Amino acid sequence: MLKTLFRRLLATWQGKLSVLILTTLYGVTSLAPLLAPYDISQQHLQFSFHPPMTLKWFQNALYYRTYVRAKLPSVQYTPTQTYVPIQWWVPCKTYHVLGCIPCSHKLFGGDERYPFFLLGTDNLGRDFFSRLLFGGRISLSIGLVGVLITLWIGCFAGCIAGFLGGWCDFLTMRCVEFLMAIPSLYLLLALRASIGMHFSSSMAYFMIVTILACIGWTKIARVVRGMVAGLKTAAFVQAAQAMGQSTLQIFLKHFIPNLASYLLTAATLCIPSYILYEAALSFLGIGIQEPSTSWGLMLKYSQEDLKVFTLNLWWLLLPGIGISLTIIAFNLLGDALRDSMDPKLHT
Amino acid sequence: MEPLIAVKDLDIAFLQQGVRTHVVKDISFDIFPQEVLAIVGESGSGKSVTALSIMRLLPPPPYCTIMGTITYEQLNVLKLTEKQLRKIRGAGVAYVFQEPSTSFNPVFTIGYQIAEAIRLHLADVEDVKAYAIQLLCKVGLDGQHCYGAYPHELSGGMQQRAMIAMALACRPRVLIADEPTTALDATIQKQIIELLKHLQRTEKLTIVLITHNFGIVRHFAQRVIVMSRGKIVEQGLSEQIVMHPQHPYTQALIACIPTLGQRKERLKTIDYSAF
Repeated sequence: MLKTLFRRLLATWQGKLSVLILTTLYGVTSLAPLLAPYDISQQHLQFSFHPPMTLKWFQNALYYRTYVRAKLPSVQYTPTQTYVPIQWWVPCKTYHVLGCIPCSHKLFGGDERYPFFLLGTDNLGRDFFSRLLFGGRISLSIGLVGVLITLWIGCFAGCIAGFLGGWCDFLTMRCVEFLMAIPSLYLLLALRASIGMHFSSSMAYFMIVTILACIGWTKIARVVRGMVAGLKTAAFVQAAQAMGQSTLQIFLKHFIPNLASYLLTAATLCIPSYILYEAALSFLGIGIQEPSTSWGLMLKYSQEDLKVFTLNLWWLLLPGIGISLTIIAFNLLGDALRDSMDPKLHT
Repeated sequence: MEPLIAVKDLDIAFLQQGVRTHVVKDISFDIFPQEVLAIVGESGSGKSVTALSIMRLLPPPPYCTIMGTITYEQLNVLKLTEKQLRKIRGAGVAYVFQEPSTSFNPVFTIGYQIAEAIRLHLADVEDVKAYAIQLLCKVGLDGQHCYGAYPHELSGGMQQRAMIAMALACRPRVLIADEPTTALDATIQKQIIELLKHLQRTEKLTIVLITHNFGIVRHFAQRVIVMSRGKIVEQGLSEQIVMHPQHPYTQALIACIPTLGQRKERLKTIDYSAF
C-alpha cells in the first residue's frame, strides 16, 4: 500500500521535485553540526555584513578569496587577489551527529589567515551559512511537530463530534467557530503575549508549537467531522456492521482509511502555514529568541540596516528564499499526494 | 416445522426531532429453514426496517424503539448484547444491500474486504485468499481478477455479485437481500436472481427477499408477506397471492405494475381511501 503510494507519488513531476527539495532541505539541516563551519553565536565583529565568497579550484584544492574592508563603520568589502585554501575535516569539540553519532570534526572550515564565510555574515559577523543550517532546523521542524499535534487534536475532536453527534457535536463545533472567527495572526500574537516573554530557547520553541497547534486544529476538525458524519451512514459502514464488525473495527478499518487521504493532504498543506507563522512571530521578535535562531529571526537581523539590506538583498534574503522554497515544495507535495491517493484516478 | 426466525409482535417507532413516527405496527411472522420468503410492499411500508431489525441494525434508543421479540436459535435478538449480536451478524444472518456501488469501502480492494469478512468469523480457514477467490468464482466472477480490483472498477452487476460473495463468506444460514436488484437493469436482475436461486439450492440457504417486483416474487419466492403502512395485510404462498390476491391492497399493488404495450392510459396508483 505505502509502496504503491510512493511509486505513484514519484511518477509525477510535482512529486519528484517536492520530494527532492524536501529531502535535501531536511537532510542538510539535520546534518547541520557537521556541515556548519562555525557555531551560530560565534561573532566576527570586524567582518559584519561580509558578502559571500568566491571559490576557486586550482592545484587540486578548493580556495576562497579574501577581502579587504573599508574603514570600520562602512560595510564595503573589496575582493583581493589572495586566495586561501579551505580546510577539510577540521578538528573541533566533540558533538553528536543526528543526536547519536559522536564526532569531533567539522566537514570543512576556514584557514587561520582569514575566516571562511561561504554565504557571508550578518550584522554581528556571524557566519550566515552556519546560521542558515541551524535556523533551518527550527523552522523546518516546527511545522512537522506542530502538524503532528494538530492532526491528533483535529482528528480526535472531529471524530468525536461527527460520530457522537448531539450536544457533543454542538459544543465542539461552536468552539471551532469561535476560534475561527478570530483572525489567526492576532490570535497567535495574543496567545504569545499572554504567555510571557522570559523563556529559555527550547521552552520558547515548545510554546510556539503548542500555540500553533491550538489555533490550527479547527479546520481539520471541521472537515473530519463532516466526513465522519457522512461515513457513519455510508452503506459500506452499515454493511460492515451487518458483517458483525465491532465499532472499533469499523472505526479503524473504514473510517480512518477513508479519512487518511484527506488527513495526509491537509497535513502537508498545514506545515507551510506553520512555518510561515513561526517566521512571522520570529520576525516580530516574539518567536524564537537568541541565542538560537530560525529563518524568521535571521530575516529580522538582515533587514536591521536597511541600506545594507537593499545593497545586499541577494544573499541577505536567503532565509526568505529557504522559506518560500519549503512552502512551494510542501504545496506541490500535498497536490501530488492527493492525486496519488485517490484510487479513482488510477484505473 | 420449527421456524428458524420467529418474529412476534414487532413494533418499531423512530424519534426524529421530537416527533415519533410509528413505522412497524405489531407484526408477527415466521421464517422457516431453507425457504425463500419475499416481503413485498411499496416504499415506506416498513419492509426494510423489519429486515434491519432482525439483525438489529437500527439506531439505538431513544432514536428508535423496538418492541416485541425476534427469536433466532432460541435467542431473543432484541435482548442480546453487542458482543453476542456480532456473532450472529454475518455468521448467522447476512445482509445484501440495495445499492452495490456504495456497499463496498472505496479505498480497499474487493478481495481485501472479503478476506476481512472471512477472518472475522472463520478462524479455521488457512488460506484466506484462496477461499475468497473461490467465493468470487462461486458467484460467477473471475475470482483472480476481481480479488485485486477496487469496487469502482467493477460494473453494478459485478459489484452485486461480489457483495453476495461477501455475504456468503461466513457461511450464514439466512441471507437477507434488501432489494438486491433494484439498482440494476432487467437483464442483470434476472442473472442475480438466478444466482440467488442457485446458491439457495447449493448452500441450503434461507433467503428473505425484500422487493416490490412481483415477477421476482412469483418465480423465486415460495411464500410472500405483503406489507402496507407498517402492517402485514396478507401472507401466503407466492403463486396463490400473485394469481389470486385477496386483500384489496395486494390487488391494487399488482394492478399498478405497468405492462409493455399498454397505451393511452394513466398509470395506476393506490387509492388508500378504498381500504
